[in-house]
Amino acid sequence: MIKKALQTLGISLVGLGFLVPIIWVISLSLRSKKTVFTALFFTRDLHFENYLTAWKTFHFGRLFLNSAFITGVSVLFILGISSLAAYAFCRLKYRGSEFFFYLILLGMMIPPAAVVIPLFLIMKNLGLYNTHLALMLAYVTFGLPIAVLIFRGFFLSVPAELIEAARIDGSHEVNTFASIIMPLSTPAIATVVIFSFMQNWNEFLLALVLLKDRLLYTLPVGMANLVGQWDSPWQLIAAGVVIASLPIFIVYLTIQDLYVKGLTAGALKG
Amino acid sequence: MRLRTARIGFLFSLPAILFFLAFILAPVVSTFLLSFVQWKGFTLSDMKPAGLSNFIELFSDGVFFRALTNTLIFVAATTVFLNLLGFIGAAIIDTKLAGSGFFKNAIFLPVLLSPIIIGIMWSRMLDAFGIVNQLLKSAHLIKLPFLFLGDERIALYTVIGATIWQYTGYDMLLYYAGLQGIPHEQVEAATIDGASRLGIIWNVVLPFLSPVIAVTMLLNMIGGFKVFDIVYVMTAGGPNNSSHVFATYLFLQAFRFNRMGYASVIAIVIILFSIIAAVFRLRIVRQEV
Amino acid sequence: MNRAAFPKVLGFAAAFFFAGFLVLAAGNTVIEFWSWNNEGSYPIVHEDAQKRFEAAHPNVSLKREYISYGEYMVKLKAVLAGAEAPDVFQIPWAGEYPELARSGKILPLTNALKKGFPTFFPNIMKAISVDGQAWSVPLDLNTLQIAYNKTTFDQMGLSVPKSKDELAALSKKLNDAGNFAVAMGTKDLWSAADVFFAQIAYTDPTHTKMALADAGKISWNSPEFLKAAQVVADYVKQEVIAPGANSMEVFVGAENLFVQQQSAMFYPVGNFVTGGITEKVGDSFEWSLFPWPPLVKGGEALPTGGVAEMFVVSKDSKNKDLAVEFLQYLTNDEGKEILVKNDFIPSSTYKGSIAMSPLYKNMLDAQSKSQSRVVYNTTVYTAVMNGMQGIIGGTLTPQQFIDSLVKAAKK
Repeated sequence: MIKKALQTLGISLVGLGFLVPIIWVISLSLRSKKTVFTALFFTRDLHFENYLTAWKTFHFGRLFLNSAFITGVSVLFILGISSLAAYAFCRLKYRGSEFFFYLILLGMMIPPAAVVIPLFLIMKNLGLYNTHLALMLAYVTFGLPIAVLIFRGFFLSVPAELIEAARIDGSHEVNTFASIIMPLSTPAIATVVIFSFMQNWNEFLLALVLLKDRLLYTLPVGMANLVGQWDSPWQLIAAGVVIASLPIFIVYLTIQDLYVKGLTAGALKG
Repeated sequence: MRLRTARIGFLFSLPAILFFLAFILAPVVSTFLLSFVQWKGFTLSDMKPAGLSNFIELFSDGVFFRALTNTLIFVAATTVFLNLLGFIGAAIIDTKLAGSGFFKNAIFLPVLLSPIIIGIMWSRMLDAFGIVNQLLKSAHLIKLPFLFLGDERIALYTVIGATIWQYTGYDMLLYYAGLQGIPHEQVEAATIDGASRLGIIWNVVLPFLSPVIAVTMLLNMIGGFKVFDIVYVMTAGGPNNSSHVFATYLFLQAFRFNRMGYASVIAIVIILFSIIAAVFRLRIVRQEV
Repeated sequence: MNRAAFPKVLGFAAAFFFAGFLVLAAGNTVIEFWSWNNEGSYPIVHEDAQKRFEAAHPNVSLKREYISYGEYMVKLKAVLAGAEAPDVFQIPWAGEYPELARSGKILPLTNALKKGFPTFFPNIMKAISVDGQAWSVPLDLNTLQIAYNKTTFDQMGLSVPKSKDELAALSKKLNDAGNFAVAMGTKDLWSAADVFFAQIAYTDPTHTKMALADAGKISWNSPEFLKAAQVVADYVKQEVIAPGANSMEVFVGAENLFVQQQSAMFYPVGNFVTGGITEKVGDSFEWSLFPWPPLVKGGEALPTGGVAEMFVVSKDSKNKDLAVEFLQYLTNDEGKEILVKNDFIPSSTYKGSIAMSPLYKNMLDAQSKSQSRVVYNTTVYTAVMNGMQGIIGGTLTPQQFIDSLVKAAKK
């Protein structure tokens, strides 16, 4: 009994210790401009108004809207396109499907820094430079490989008999996919949502290059602008960091159990 | 019927394939072609064909080879420690103790944050006069500040440390998910047979986890070869080019030196290394990816 | 309203808005302006020029964008390649400037500068000339000096050093008292190069060698450069430079050491940061500036300096004349008033009547003596920055540093 209590205390302390840097950032966000560099941790007076100031200074409303819009739409499209492709690659095989599967997986190994200029030129030629659409197209593309991997792994664990039975019943493939397979795949969907959300919400380089108008900026780019120069208001930046990180954390907390289930069946079966 | 499913399969996978062709294959081919030219990147008309000169130059580029070794060290160190710590963390969560839920979320939280934010955060904390040094000083462990990011010999390892801190949760959840898939009967049978804790882990758990280990290692390696944000923010490759990795060196060549052609060669090298690592791992583990 | 009318109303409204948009679009011209100096007093200067410019041109609006320096060149290259560059943009005075001039992406301004612009200082006009043409409009100048805590100096009986040895001696006194000497933030790289240039001002009395080496006419492996590197290495060994330089950024770590009185000196300081320091220091101590001292006593103290903000016009701009005109507003007499009011040094003679603070007079005086801090060859400049980090970190010898410059010059 005591042993279990001690063990619980132990791992809780380790967890807390792990979070110390983040707690430090929170403490930074509550300091005044004078003490932002001199104080060690939390100061006696807590300046919660920094959050309001940060919101206004960084025009957080706009940044949030942009990030939410771009990330939301990209994630939806990633879900749709990758699940269809993954299903095809494992259950609706055709000549060349293995090849295309590996080809798309190859996309995982491309560092965005390597293709950012050609990608920019392509978007420019499509007339999409400085649009949210360009960023969404890029995000969907770069999010597909891991999403396809997860969905494919998950679909492989769905018993083939289920699909056969539906076929015998005369169900069209699309119907089978939509009404039988997808409802079963909520864990995989959760996993893909977390992965893609994480990747796109925090993405920086492509957003920097593909967007010109300040009004279109996403959160990472909008905030980077404030850090560059002298006199950066670090307490406001810290507050901004906390605000910017909340949405993804909330998404994770909401679907964390499904996320693990999705990993179990999805990413790990390869 | 087979033809019909095949045709539908093709249609299902078409959007993904089109996206890939337009926004990954086309840029990669451009990058490949760019590696044979000299181009400042300002205007399309001042591209000059350069044959293999970019490739030849790469072989005598000391900083590139430093970036190469640094990247390999980065990949190796992060992969090993992330897997190790991730597995230990997963084992802890699996005990289902009262604090394990909090523990799981605490370790995983950094994974969700932007690497840029993580980099800025650690840079501030490890400043010569930042909180870590202040604590070390007041504990009388050091007299002069410890230069985590200012000392050429350790800057890279500091960044590796921050990366491990960020992504341990990522591997941890992968392993935790893997542990859920182990049939309990085997574990119980081994316990009844009197096997020790370690023995169970070695003989029962690990073999079942080998596909998990394989996938996790692959994901870590690919991520390691691509790494950019956190290194760029913490050291930008310095001091004195001591902590460059592939992607930061590529960035330097493309955007500071305006040598797009040369940068493209580096890009090709990154892609090749990732592919080789993936193929290598496939051969060793003999697993279908 | 009934259901049949609704689509009609919708259509009408859409047409109305569309027409209105067309009218607005046709009437309102937008000039895009990019700079990276988004803190301190520069935006005040830009905004003032914008107000005067827009007042004279009712149908034209100026859109100012500030992009932090780290990302500035990335974005700029992307828009230049795609012919989407802003009409007017700030450009670094080294490296990219000559390359950009030769790329044909910016407008040659030699003729434009002859009308409607003040006469810029001749040595500045020389500095911005590439292949015989002027391609930019210099707005203001700065010098780089060491800021020092006068109060601490007085308390410890120290005076402004007049030689290298005096600087080393007073640094030792400071270090022994638990204070640091010159706080520098060389993680930012550029400040590392500036220490080197500051010594060349003394090791090369002719003040011509650096330009010659930059142009490839002499080798970097010349005694003047080697000596300058040696001086920096000596300073490092004598603990004149505060520890941790390579891990600090200039305006975060180093400035804070000075402001919090943990180090009695701070480099590099110019008018781009004096306002910030004054604000942070407030009344806690008195401070002023002096340049890196001469190598031997009796020599004249020479700071380094040059153009600070400099703007170019994009060749792809659809409003070239308006763009050039805006630059006139930045540099005319009213523009100079605003510059001087904010402690900036205009790039042409200022004949106004604003009273100058002692700090400003100090910087103005330094400006008249300032030596170059420009290396145009990007590869060599980068090698200087990185190599200096090596010297400061104690991992490179002066000869190794020079060798790296020679190697970089070959590329």
